[in-house]
Amino acid sequence: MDTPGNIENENPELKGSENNNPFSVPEGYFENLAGKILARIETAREIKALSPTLSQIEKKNPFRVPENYFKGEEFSEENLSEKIRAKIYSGEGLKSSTKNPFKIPERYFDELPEKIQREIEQKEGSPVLLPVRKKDFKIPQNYFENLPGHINQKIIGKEAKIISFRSYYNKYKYSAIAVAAAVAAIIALYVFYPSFPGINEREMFVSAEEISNSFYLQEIDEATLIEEISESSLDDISDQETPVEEYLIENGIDEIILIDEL
Amino acid sequence: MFREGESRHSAFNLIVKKYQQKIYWHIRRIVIVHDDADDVVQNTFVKAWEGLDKFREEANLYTWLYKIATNESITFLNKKKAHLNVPFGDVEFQLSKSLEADVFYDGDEIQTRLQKAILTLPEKQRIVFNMKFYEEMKYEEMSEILDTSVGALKASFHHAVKKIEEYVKKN
Repeated sequence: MDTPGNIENENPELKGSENNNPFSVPEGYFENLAGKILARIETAREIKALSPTLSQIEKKNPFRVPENYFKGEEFSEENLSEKIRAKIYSGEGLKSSTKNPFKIPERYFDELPEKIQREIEQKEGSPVLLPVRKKDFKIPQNYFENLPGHINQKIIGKEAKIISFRSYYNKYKYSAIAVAAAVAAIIALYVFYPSFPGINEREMFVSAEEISNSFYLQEIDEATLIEEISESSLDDISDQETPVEEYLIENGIDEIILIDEL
Repeated sequence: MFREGESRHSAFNLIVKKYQQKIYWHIRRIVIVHDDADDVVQNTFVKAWEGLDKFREEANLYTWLYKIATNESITFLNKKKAHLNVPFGDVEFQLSKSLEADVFYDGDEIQTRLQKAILTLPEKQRIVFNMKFYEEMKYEEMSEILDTSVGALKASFHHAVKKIEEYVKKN
């Protein structure tokens, strides 16, 4: 006869299952439980001591989250862990999500302030030089308008001097011819043989105006130029008559005219 | 456990599932609005993932995650402040206004009053109050997360409670 109250005898299917606990707790639950309870008691005691009003307010969480936010189906877009998983494994991570798609040249921002400063200086003048610029050199009124006239006057004066040169004609006859011949030869060479070594393309296309406006030419003293031409030409001329000179003599070109042309 | 190999991904998934709620609520009480909290909690875990190599195993993972979450929340509020171009106190005022507008908020009158009182506190005091009052965290744990001495935290909580009591009584 079965003993009354013996579950195993009343329900044979439960036999052997009394030790199987279908419930489980989170890992470390019991280890942390005492600490949690103590922390709760301490907090409540502290709040009660500090503020009786606050201790009477029910500690309720007024915030909600969307349905399925924590417990939704995996692979659901609403599920938080799924969102995090997608963000990490898609490679989208924080680095890529905040990555700037635009690129700038290397050291751009290091050099930018200097560039801006240069632009400002070009437009408005250097802040350093600005006070100096205010005291800039002045020129007489209409100076540049009148300058060509003054130069012409000086040239005429020089021509007069050349006339006086004629009085020494006999003395410097061959020298003068040699100078004229050399100049004519150089001009001819440059006009008819533009590819002559020493003439580059840029020089070939320099206009007469550019030459006359050239800073270099303007800066050189006129007397120095003439002296330079005379000396260098004379140095190159031998006592023998050159073929060009012969040509000039043979064709009866007036030497005086040539000298005047200078 | 998650230093290398394929176990890294699955181990991290377990970490997310274990701590997501605690971290979420910690963040939500700081940033108030669900959508903002959702962004910040995701950034927190992504940062944790990216910093796994730097994580010292002797440190507490839970504390480490809390630290990231707190920093991320403060960064978020600073950005919000810069975006709104208002002083920090006014951000709390904005949060107070958005509290009732949030569809995921359903506090009653007393709860709303309490939340508004909390939002009058300075940022750090607010965090300390929430961690103690709602999360019932020990001062020692808070000290590790916030890099602040236990004494300073106790004083901060004390001031916070006094201010809240005053606000609740006045309103």
